[in-house]
Amino acid sequence: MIDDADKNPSRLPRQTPEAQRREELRFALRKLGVLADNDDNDEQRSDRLLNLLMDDNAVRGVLQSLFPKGVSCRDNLHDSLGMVCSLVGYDSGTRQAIAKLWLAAVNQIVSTDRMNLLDEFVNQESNYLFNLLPSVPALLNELDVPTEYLLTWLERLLTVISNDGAQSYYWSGLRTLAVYRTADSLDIAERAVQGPTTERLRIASFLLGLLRTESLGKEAYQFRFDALDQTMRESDDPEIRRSWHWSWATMASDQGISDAHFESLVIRADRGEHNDRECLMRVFCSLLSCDKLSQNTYDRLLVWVDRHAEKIVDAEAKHSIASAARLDRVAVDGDATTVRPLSWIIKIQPVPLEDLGTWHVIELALVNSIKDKNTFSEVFKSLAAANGSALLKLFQQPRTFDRLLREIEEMNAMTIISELIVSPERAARRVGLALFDKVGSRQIAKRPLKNASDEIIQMVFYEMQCLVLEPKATARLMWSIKPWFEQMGNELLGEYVDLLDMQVRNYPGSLLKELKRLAKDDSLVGSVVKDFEELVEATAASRQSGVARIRVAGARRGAILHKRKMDREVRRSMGEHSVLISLCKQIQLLYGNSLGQYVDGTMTKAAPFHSTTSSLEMPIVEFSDPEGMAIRRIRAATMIDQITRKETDG
Amino acid sequence: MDDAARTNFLVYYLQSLKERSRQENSGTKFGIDWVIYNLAIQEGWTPHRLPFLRSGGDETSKTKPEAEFGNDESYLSPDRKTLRVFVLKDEVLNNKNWTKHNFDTDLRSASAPRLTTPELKNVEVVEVILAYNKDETASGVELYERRVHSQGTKVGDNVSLKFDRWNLTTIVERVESNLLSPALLPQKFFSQFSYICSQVADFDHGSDEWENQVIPNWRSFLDGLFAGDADERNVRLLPVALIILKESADKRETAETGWIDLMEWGMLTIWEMARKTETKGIRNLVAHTWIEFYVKQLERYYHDNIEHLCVEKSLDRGCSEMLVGTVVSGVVAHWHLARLGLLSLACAEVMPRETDEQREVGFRLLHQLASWTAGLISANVATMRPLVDLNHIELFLVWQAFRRVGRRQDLHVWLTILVNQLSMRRAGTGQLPFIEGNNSMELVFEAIAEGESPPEYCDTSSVYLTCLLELVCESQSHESSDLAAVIYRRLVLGCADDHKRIDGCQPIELMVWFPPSDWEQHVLKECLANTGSCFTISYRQPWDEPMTETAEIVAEVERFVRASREAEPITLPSVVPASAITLACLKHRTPLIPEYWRRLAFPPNTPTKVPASTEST
Repeated sequence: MIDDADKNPSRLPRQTPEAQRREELRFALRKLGVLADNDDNDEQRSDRLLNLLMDDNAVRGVLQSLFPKGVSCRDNLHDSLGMVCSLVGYDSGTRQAIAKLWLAAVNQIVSTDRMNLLDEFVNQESNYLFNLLPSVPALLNELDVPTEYLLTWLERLLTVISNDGAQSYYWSGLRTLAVYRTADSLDIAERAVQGPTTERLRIASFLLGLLRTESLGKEAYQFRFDALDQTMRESDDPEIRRSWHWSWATMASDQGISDAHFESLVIRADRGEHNDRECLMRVFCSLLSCDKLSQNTYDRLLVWVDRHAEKIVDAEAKHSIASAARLDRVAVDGDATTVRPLSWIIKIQPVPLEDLGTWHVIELALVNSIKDKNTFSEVFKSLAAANGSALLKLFQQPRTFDRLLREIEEMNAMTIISELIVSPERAARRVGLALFDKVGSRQIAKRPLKNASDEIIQMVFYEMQCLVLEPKATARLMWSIKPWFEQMGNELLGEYVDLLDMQVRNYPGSLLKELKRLAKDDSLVGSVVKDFEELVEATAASRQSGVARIRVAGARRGAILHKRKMDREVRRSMGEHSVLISLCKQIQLLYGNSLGQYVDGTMTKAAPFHSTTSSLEMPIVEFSDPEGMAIRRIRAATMIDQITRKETDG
Repeated sequence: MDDAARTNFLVYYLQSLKERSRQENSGTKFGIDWVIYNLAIQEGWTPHRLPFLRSGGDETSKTKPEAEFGNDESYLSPDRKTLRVFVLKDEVLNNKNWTKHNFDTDLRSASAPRLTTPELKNVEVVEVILAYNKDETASGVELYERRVHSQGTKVGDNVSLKFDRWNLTTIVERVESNLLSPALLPQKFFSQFSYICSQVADFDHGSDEWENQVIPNWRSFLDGLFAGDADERNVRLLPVALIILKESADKRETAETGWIDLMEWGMLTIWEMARKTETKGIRNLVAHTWIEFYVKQLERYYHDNIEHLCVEKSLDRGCSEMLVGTVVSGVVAHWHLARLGLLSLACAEVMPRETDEQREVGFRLLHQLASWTAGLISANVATMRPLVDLNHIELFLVWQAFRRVGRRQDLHVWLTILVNQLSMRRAGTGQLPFIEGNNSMELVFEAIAEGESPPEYCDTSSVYLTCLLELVCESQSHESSDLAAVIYRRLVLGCADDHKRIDGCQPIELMVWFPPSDWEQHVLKECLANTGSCFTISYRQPWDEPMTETAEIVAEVERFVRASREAEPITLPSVVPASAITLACLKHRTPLIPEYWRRLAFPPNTPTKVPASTEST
């Protein structure tokens, strides 16, 4: 059924020009029979449109219907075509049809205006850039503009879409150029290298990679290609050489890479010509994910990357290696069979903390490996030993290693964590303790503890004083190591009791509760708890005496300032920890105790507020004796150093 | 305060009053007439005849010039049936005064009141009361009894006549029962003092209101009380005013410490009076009040509360106030340290030393005070958290409390822990900033609250460290430790124990302050921090290597002490004791005059010990 508005768009109520144009196009498409029924799917509609565009005359006719006043650069051609696309659908048929209409429209106007019209597109004057992007390959196949202009247009388009995920149509467009317009492609690549910018070199690299795989036909073309290839290969400009290196990745993903080519690249990398090894490492890492490589080349690549991974210092190359470390394709021959890509994440250490992208890839590699508990355990422990300090900070940062933490929590990693805790490496120990704290393990596994020396247990004891751990985790750790301290002599037992005593005062809530649960009838813990409870009684009497009730002028203002600062910190921290909260709109109600909304003519019923509370236990001694806690930490660190030195000397 | 002491000070005050209040050129003379008037009002009696013309609450009522015919004051009972006539005397009731000071004449005149006026038409009983604020002799009482018996029992035909005698004890008892209120004070102070009483009842000791309202009002009251030619009665009045204030604030948790605070301001005022007066009696009276009222009250307070103070972390605030609470507990801890130290200093000054027994008793007391201080320090780490530079006063007080009784071990342990705690703050690892040189708690709180020090925050200059170093150098001859070197390395130079500079730490500028030449005339009244001279100290030439050995540090410190004594000689006052001067420095936020710690640490005219390393060089 067609309603009145569909029959005569001029009778439509007042609308924005864009809405009006859309209605006009809908009307025209209905009239052409493209939009026949409301229940049509995209394919039916695009088929009908494509059928209408059988030859040039038909295309001109459809254009006439859609643009009754003709096409000029002043009309917003791209908006209209984008609207047609959204009205017809987004399948491949529509892409072809739109390309035909676009090309016909461009060809209808004189060449100077044509470039202005194309400029409109890359200037993002159209709201429908991404609707038309899929039609770019078909457009480029036949677009008749000078190559100099075409290069500029392609460069600008690449700049516009460079931060978007929908780039594949762009690269398909270049592929179309390389396949169907070899001379133009060569011309574009040569011009790009002559006036290099980042985008131009990307274009040149891509075209070079594709052209290398093509049979160029004419000798002149091959000559031009070889000259371009050599220019880029031998250029003094590292960016141009880099583009040349990356052209091999394009080539490999298009149709693989021959052994001879690979050998020449390896030789180049081994020689470290022009310090290109790191760039080639990145290329090789990307080749590893290419499914058109021969098994032999793949194996050779594995061996090469494995040998050179630890020599790499470039951050981008490390990122590539970490990405390649996730590969699970197996090697079949020679040295390659012993290569374990996952171990590369250890070889590339130290990865700086600020290289979060690389760490994210490492996290994914670890998560992927978790299904093989032994491998994961081994690699994770090695990683903790290699760069535990960064790992520790990543576990402590919000929303950084959350996924890995979740996975570790689910996999029941008590043994791995325990092994880390009793590791001789300090960094690994700290990671172990942090994990013990985060994943809420109930206790340390007995076997790693049994195998640990007294010195290691002492280091665990001192290490936990250097870190701020959750009260429950502290209680469990203290309880786990207690039997060892009972056998280590009075001095160390005294230290143990002193720490236990302090921790009970520090966290008189959950730590005390957990400790009581764990050590129901234990005399040592019992006496500490008893002392504490007596102290609580004495403190209550002391508080009533008023000796500590003296106020201090200025404290009230200080407390207000401090609270405000804490509120700001909490808000900031909430934003960091929760994506949801950072996305939520924050509304401050001025009056009342219930909230309703009026949206677009609809009034909702006011709903009462709901309150949520959460609580956490603050470490009392951190506030009552901050200097003492700092001294305790310094002493603990000194003791760890002493024990380590003694062990090393021994 | 115990009841006996309270009664004693009331006795002293009431005994000192004249018969009549009056304004004289030299100042206000306080009289017993005003006390009797207020007692009558308090008991619901209506004034019939008064010796003065009543006026506003902040003035002194004008004395009536008319003849009183023995009737100094008279009051009607609430039912209008009894007329009470007071015969007031500020003399001892004895044989000599019976006629000389008109006891007899006035009693006879008072026994025959004229009851014809309309307001007395319902009077059925006339009660003549002889009230005198002195004691009596048996002969005086005998004369009184005879007069009473000879007077008969009637006035006219129908009205009964009775006699009563209120001596000092009776008046004190009645005042204690009914008049421990602002009304007991002379009339001109009534309004102001009533207001102070209500504020003391409303505000906590140390709160913003306390510091901004109560203390200024109290100091203004004290200024008024001791304005002009103040005499014995003014001094006697101070304890009474304080007793009344204590009654007002008794329900508050901070009543006792607040009372000590008020008492201290009062003590400084009377010491200023003692300093200015030439009258030996007043000086003795002030010294007596200082000891019997302040020092004893302080001793009683700590005797009662030391058990609570020695409970572990008894001064901590929990974590609800977070680091602000940490700072507050530091301030409170230093408040107690200062009082215990003052107590020790004051006791050492006043205790008799003539006999072995006296010396033994004195030593035991000082030992006990040192033990209390040690208990407080051991239970509360907040005592080792100086926040402002002026805390060097507490540093000195604690040091002298231990040193005085030879508790070198306690001294050493305390100083070592103190230095360790301070080292953390100096290195920026203790969450708290280093000692604030401008003595502004506001800046300290701001630094804590904001997590970074405001621009005005000064942690680059320190008198505290100079004092600490000098006190430690004194004990170096007794200890084998290298604490002086540690202080110099970590706290002054900002270096770790490996002598490498700690990140972000610049050396602190050591300083010493000398008061202006007329400091004695001002120190009890005002802050002298912005007067006098401040010297920066470089123990050696700037290009020399930093000192690392305790012996050379001790030698340099002693050299500096000698040099500064010669350049800035300071004579300590003879009238005002060191404890009172120290209290004044605490209250007025004046740095302590260095000679007070130096005279103990480096007694003048003591030959300098040459350190071993110096000898060898």
